[in-house]
Amino acid sequence: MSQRPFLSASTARPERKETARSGRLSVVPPPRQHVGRGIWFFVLAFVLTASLVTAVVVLQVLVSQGSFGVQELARLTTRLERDNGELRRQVAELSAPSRIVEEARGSGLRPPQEVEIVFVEGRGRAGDGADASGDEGSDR
Amino acid sequence: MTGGRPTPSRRPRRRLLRPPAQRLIGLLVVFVLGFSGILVRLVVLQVADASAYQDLAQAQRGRAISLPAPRGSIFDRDLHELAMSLPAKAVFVDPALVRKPMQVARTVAGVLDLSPAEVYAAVTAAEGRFVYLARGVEVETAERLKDMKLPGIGFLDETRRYYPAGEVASQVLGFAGVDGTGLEGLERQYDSLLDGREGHAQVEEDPNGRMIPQAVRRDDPPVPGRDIVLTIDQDLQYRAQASLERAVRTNKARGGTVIVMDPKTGDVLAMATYPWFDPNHFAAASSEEWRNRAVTDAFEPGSVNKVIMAAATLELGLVTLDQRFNIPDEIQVFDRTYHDAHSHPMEQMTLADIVAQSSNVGAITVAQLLGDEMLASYLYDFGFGKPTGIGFPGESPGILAPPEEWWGTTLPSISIGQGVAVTALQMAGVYATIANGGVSVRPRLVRGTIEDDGAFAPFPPSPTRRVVSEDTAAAVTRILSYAVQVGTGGEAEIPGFWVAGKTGTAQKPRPNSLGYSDKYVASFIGITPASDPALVVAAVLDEPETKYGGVAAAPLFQEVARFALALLRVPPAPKPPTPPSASPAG
Repeated sequence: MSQRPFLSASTARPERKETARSGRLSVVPPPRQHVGRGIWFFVLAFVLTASLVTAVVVLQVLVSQGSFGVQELARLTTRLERDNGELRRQVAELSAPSRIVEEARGSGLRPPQEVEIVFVEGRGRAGDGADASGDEGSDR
Repeated sequence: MTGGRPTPSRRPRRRLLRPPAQRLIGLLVVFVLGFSGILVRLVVLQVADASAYQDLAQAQRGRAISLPAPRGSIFDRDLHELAMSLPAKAVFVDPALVRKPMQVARTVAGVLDLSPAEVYAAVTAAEGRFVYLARGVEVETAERLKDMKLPGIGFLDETRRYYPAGEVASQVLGFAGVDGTGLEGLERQYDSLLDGREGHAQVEEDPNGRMIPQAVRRDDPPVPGRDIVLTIDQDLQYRAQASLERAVRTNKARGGTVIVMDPKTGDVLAMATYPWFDPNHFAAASSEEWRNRAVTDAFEPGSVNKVIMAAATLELGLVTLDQRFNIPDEIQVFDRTYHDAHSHPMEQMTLADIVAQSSNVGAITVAQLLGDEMLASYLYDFGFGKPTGIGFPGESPGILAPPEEWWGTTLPSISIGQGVAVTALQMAGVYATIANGGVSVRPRLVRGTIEDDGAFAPFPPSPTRRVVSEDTAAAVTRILSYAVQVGTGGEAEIPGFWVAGKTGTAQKPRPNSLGYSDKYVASFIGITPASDPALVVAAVLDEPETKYGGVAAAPLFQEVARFALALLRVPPAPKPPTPPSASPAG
C-alpha cells in the first residue's frame, strides 16, 4: 500500500504560481465519461448468466421429461404385458375342453348316439368290395 | 517530490502506517494450513476413500432389480396354450421393520390366504432380514396388499407357471417349481429351451423409494424362454382322459393308460395316465401321480405281444398265411406247461386263427420255429429293451434279457408276452410299425418351437427304420383285423373304419417273489382304419376287476379311436381282406 503524503496549503500554492508564470496554461479537457460501460458489462453478464442458467434448466427439464416419459412408458409396458398375460389366460381357460364340455352340457347338447356311415355304391375304395357296402358300414 | 514532507508527529498515526507484515504472514500461514487441511481431506475423500464412499452412496440410493424372464409357453398342436407364464409377485418381509407383528400377520394372512400362525412366525423371525411370505402371488392380490403400506412387507417381480387346462396332459407336461425350474415331464425335459435368462437393472431411488428419473440406469434385459409346440391335441387328450377315467371306474381298475399315435409321423396325439393331477397344485399330489406311466412304467404285455411272433415268422418265410397247425390246448416246454385260456380239443389253426383266438399254445408252437436268437433279434428291432427315444425324463427301456441269458422257457414265455416287460409306448410303437408298412418311426411329443419372430420352426422329422417288409406288415394287419372281427377284440370294432388290433390279458408278476399274482393288466392295441392306417391307439388298464383285455380295454379303445377319427376327419375305409382261416368263424 502506498502512503499518501500530507500536503499543507503553503506548499501547494507556490506550485500553482510557477505554472501560471510559465504561460502555458491550457484548459484540460474533461475526462471522458465511462459510466455506461459498467452498466453494459453488468447487463451483458446478467444476460449471459441468465441464458446459461435457463439453458441448463431447460436441458434438465427436457432430460427429466424424457426420463419421466421413459418411466411412464415402462409402466405402460408392464401394464400392457400384464393385461396381455391376463387375456392369454382368459383365452386359454375359455378354450379349455372341460369348460366347453360344461357349456355344451349346460346348453343341452349331447354326443350323437347313432352314427351311420354310408358308402356310395360303386364308389368304394380298394379292398373287399362286398365289405364296403352301406350295411357293413352302418354303426348303430 | 520537492519540498520536505511533514513527518507525522503523533505515535498512533505512525503505528497505523506501519505495514502489518507479521500479521499478514500469520494470516497467510493460517489460510495455508486451513486450505492444506481441506486439501488433504479432499484427497482422502476423493481419492483414497473414493471407491468406498461411492459404494456407500450407491448402496444408499441405488438398488439392483432383477427382471424376471418369462418362461416359454407350451402349446398343443393347434396352438392352444397348455402351460404359460404369468406376471406375479413374491411377497417378503423384513422382520426388523415390522412394528406390530400380530396385526401385520393377520392382515397379510387374510389377503394372501395363508395361515396367520405361519405368517406370524415369518414376521417375527429372529434371524435375517428377508423372509419369503408367498411366491407367485397374483398381481392384483399383491397390489391390494401393497396399498395397505404395511411396514416391512416388500414385493418382488416374478412370474408364475399356470396350466389353464388343469389336469389335461398333466403327466406329459409335468410342472415347474416356484423358481421357474422344470421339475417333471416336458417342463423338465425341455427346461433349457423353455427357461429364459433373468435380466438385471441398476436403478437409483430417493429416500421415499421413488425412482430417480435422471439417475444412471444400467439395464441387462431379460431373455424370454422359447415356446414349444407339442404333438398332443388338447381336445383328443381331454376325451382320452375322460374315457380312461370312465373305463377305470367301470372296471374298478387301479389305473390305466391311453396312447393315441399317428403311425406315419410318430406324433403322439394323446397320452393319458390315470390317476392324474392338477399341475397348478402339484404339491397336493403324490409323486406316484406325477409319473407318466405310459413311458416310465414297464409291464408284461401278454397276448398283444403275439404280433411280433407273427410278423417275424411271416417275414422270414417260416409260415404262410394259409399254413395250418394242429394246436392242442396245452403244451409242455421244459419244466412248464402252458395252457390256452379256454380248454379245447386239438384244433387246426392258421396263423390268423392263432392270433384271433389268442392261443398261447399256437403262439409257442409258431415261435419255436424262430429260435431264441431270431425272436430276440425281432423283439429288439421292434423296440424292446431300449428307450424309444421320445425324449421324456425317466423313460424306461423295459426288460428284455439278452438271448445268451435265455433258458428253456424264455422263448415260449416271451412269445405269449411273459418274461419280458415293455412300456405302453413301446407296445404302441410295435403296432405303429405294422401300421406304417413295416417302418418304425421314433415317437415324439414335440413338433417344434416358436421363434422370436413368431414363426413356427418345426423339428426335423423323426428318424425311421424298416423292421419288416411292407407285405409282412400288410399280412399282419389283415390278421389283426381278423382278430377283431372274429376273435377276442370284437368290442373294439368300429364299423365303417375297421380296426386291426389285439387284446392282451397279462397276469402281473408277484412284486417280491417268483410266479404270478391273481392280478391282471388288460390291454387292447389297435390300428384304424385297418385298410388305410391313420391311428394307433393303445388302451391299458391296470388290475381291472373284469380282467380280460377284450372286455375291459377294447371298449376304451373304441371310444377313444372313434372320437379321434372324427376329430382328425379321417375318412372311412373299406374292410380289409380276410386272411385264410381254418376256423368256421372265419
